Amino acid sequence: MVCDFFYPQPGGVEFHIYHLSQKLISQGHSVVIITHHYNNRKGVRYLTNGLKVYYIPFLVLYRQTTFPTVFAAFPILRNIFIRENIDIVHGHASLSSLAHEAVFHGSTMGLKTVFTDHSLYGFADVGSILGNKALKFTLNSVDRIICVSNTCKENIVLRGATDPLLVSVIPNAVISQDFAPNPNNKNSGGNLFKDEITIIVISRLFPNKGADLLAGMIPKICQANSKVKFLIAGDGPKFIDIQQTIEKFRLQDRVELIGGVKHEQVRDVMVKGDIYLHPTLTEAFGTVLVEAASCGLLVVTTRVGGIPEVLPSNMTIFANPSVDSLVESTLRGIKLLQDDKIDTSKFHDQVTKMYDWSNIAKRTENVYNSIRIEDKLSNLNQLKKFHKCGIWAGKLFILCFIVDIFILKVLEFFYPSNGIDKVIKWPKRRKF
Amino acid sequence: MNRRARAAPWRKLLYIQQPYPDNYTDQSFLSQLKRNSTVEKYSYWKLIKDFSLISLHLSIITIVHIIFFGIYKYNWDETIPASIASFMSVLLYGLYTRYEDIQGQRPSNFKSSTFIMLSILTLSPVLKSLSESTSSDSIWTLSIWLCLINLILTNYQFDISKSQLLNNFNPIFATNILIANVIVLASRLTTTTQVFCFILFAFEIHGLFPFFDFWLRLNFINVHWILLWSLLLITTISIYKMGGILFLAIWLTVHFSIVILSPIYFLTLQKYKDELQGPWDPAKPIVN
Repeated sequence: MVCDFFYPQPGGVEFHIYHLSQKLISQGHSVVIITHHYNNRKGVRYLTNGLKVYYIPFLVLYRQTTFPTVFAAFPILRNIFIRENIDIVHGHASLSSLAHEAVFHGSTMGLKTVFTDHSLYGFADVGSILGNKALKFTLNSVDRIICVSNTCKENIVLRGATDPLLVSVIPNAVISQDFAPNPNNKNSGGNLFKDEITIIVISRLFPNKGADLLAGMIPKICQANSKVKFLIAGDGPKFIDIQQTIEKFRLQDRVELIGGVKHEQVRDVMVKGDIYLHPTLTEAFGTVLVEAASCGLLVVTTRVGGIPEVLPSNMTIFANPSVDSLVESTLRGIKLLQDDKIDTSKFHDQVTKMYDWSNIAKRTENVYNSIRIEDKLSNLNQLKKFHKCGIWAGKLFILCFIVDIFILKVLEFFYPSNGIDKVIKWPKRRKF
Repeated sequence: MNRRARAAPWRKLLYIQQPYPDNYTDQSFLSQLKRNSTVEKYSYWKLIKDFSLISLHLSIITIVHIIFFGIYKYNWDETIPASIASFMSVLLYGLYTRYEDIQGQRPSNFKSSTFIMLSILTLSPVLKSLSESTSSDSIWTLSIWLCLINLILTNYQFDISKSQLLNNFNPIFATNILIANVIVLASRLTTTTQVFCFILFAFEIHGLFPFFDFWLRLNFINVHWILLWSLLLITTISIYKMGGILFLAIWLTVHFSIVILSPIYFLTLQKYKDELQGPWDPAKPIVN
């Protein structure tokens, strides 16, 4: 597993990698994570169950992404791959240049390679164009691709110009025990308890997460229903806007802003509410929606990206990304709860059946097993494949690939692979 | 059992376990993809109108260079262009503020323009000797590069709104390149008066004319066209007088290719346009 984004940074990708690795370890595999250093966290660390993490010291460019060099990480990556006896290199997140590099070098070294993408990108702006070119390069050298939703698959097939049959859709999951609903809430039901409705919002307050929509909605909902309260967790550039809205409409005692919360605390915040509101503008999967449903909250969300695939319609109320539509949907949700027409207490068990890491790990394992080393392209065929990628890009890709092969030979000469010590693996736990 | 399950159609949902492999690609794959849905079909005349602005901007730059070479080579009286430009600037500024009803800005604008003028006056002797040790060839090359950069970076948007005119019209980088060009050229002149008059003239042309022309396009579009044609005529005649038939031919070819050929080329390129839109694009929020 290689990705720029990992613990101690919180986030969807980080948790995905961690949980997937844990499940793969319990399946009897040996998993090593490679990421770049975080402050003074450099070198090798061990996490639960002997999950080994290499924090490579690397220049961090922007929002915890390493500097996009094509070849710089090759020596150390090769060393780790050989030391750890790696068969499969699995890169995560298309913004992580370390993942791109690892997958590309792994491919050059003849290892099986898999790439997982977690987010959606457009085609219009300069950043996306550059990112998509890099992705095209990587995707043309990997054996299999995994996406977190079907929308994400459509997106990546277009961006990377790849064969859709190589792309598998495997969603994220949640540890449902960690998102159990409040037991006191369960049996109370009835109008007496549901008299007051609390709406929870947990989201980084960025424009693309729909913070503007949120700021527009709050006063309208508070005006329409006097029994509604808001609890908003999360920080970001739009925090001040929300704060100003609250002050402007004098809603201090009805809207509570608690700032950023740690992932461990998310559940404790969620169980305080009845409705989870997610007015985002783009989302590949939306793990937080699953977490909210698991906590027994009714989810009100926008119908964007991969969200419609994530939860069944009895748990969600969809809206269009406009203030009016969201307000209308939220009020409908409140009405449902107040009239006791919806039973949220079963959500947790349903979600537990839907999303489970063991299942995800098994499906990922299937993807790994479907790669046959005989099917790997010879260098010549790989060159041909790169050549088809574009008039200029194709030539550049070929150049990179050839240089990479040369570097591999040079490394092989100076640091022969039989001179690299193999590590002793963490003792496997016996299966019960 | 298995066969019956197979018969169930695949659904684009993640919360149900479906009897299909994870890499299953359904018939409906990419059915929500929209292509070129926001692409605007341009008309040839609209493009000619847009491209004519490049032609106009080129003429403006050329006029400044013609005046420069007049002063530099033919010993024209430098005070005449500077006086005409200053007089016109004051007159048109008066008209503009009156029309837009923003007379309140006059004192502050007067103050800043006086300040700029005094700074040019003070700096003129310094600017005169700025490039004494450099050969003229280098200066001409530098000037050409600066003009090219400016031509590429200028905003050639034809239709702008009034609020854009009053608030956002701020082409800082492109104008600064032109100012650098003017200063580099001025450093070749021989007397302080020449330097001062030329810089003043060029500042007025480069700084105020685009603004004025935006205003014209917004309110008196016909005046804009008259102005464009007369400027083209003036520059064409001057180029013929100064450079002869060869320069005239080059000049006319350039304009012909900008205004007539470039739009055709642009239209032919449009058929390669492939804009992809789908559910993965960030939604446009409707906040009211």
